[in-house]
Amino acid sequence: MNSDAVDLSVMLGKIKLRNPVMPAAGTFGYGEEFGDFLNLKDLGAVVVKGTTLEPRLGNFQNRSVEVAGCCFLTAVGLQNVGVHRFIEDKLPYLRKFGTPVIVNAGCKSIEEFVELVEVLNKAEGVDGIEVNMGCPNVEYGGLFGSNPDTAFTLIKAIRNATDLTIIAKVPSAAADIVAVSKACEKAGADVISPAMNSRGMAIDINTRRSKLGKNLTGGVLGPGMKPIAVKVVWEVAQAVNVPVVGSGGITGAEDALEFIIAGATAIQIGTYNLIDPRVTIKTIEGIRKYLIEKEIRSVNDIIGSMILS
Amino acid sequence: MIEVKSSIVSNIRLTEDCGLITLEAPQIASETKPGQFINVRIREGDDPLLRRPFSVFRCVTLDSGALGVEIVYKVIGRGTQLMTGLRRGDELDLIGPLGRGFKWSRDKKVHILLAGGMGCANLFMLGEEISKGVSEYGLKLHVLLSAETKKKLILKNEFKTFDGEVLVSTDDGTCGYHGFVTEMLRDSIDKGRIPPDCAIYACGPEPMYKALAAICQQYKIPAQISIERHMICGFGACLNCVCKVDKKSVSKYRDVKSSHIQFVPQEEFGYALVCKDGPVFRIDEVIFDE
Repeated sequence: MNSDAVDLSVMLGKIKLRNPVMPAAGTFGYGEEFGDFLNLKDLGAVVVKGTTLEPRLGNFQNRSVEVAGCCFLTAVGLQNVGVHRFIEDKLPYLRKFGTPVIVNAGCKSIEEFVELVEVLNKAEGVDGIEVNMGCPNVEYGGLFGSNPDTAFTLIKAIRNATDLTIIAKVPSAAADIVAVSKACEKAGADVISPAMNSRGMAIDINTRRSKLGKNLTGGVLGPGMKPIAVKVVWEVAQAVNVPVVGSGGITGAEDALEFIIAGATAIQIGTYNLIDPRVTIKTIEGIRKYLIEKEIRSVNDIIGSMILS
Repeated sequence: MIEVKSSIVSNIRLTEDCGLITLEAPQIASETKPGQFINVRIREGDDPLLRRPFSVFRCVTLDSGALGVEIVYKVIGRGTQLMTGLRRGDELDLIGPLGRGFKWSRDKKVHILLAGGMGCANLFMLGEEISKGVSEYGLKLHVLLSAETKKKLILKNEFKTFDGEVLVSTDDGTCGYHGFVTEMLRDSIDKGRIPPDCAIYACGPEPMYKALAAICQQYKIPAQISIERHMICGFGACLNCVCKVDKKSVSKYRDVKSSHIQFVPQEEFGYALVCKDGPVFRIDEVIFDE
């Protein structure tokens, strides 16, 4: 089987991805930062930084620290240039590549989400909206994704405001992530993306202060999170009838394939973009190689193909 | 900026807890400017997980004729502990050169390098440049090195090759001036050994910068400082390595629109990215209250 015979393309709502690999929001800037390392044309989609209606300063300094167990803590707090500057300064660059652009939206209220979505509706070149329902590092994080009712109300309001593909990024810290995911599907989300958003803390025993300074806590990210994430994706994928996006600690093709076999239609790589800036490209090549070796024609043939016996 | 695999030429111990690694890295060496850094992946795999940023100490021509870069490290955590075990021939993955380094001009005649501990490694390339202009342009170069104690003092002989004066302070008085390097600076100014009409370039811990800020304000001396932060990507994607900066001062020195500094209308401060807008800042740009 030669490499041309393998079909890596997948559908997420109305978006056709040429392959199932995307960077995760917040680990890929606005794409341009990776221009020296890879061609954005080769990615399944680009997911840009968590975006709000107005620019945000983000959290105090000392935003990150590595912790044992292949993880790090981070507390950026949605620092971003705001949606208007995104459209003016950042989007024109991204449009040159013809790769689908997904904007991660993280707002304080339903009204702000709707207003943001209306701005994005008018901007040419945005294909999808990833609704951040549980950023661990802002005061209102988890507000929308914590229970099925609030999740339903938010997604319904956004659905009424846009025809763009909606990816509901559901926080893993929700009491019942399956129920929240189903509520999002019912409200009209095109895609469900269970996201790792556990919070952690690390203390300097000499100063007895948080290693994240005044931020005290941060989101826990990194390869150490992967087994938890695979299990969550597996559970959610069985419960909903829309595509699921897998993410959490992916370091390469083997990890990505685990998520796909567990039920993910596409995957997002986060932390590892910051360690190996070409990891997305290497992952795409690794998935292609796996399919060739196993003589599988389409990546769609292995989505949710996990054998339970 | 490139990502490249680089062979270790040597890894030597400078003091009990400091080492110097020489790497073959022709392209990075040919592009690095004073004050810039590289982000180093110490080994493959997930432990340690993140890269570690290091100032380029100097660029050298290796015995092989190729260009190399040198970095100085101090053992503080697991990553730097592992670095002590690296040997000739081992490969490191580097991204660099990164960041915005020191700017200097011959308009000022007297130039001061002020180093707190191993911060001196970050100032060497700048010193090399200034040193070359000393006799031709009538410049003066003063290097102020420091350490907690004599045994921890590093790179003094390297700085002594410059066309300038090297002063040393130790916290315990075991070598040179007894006290902090900023106290030695103030003393030198007060005794007329260093004129206030000078430019200072500094690298060291934050308490040193706070003391330096007071001196700079008193004598109206311009200073550039290199800020250290926990850093992840090193190229402006993750927004973790921020430094709190003053809106008014920043606007005096740089084009804010083309920078990575995030301001909001309702606040007089913003967050700059140490990896892109820095690591070198004007001392009066930085707010030291977090």
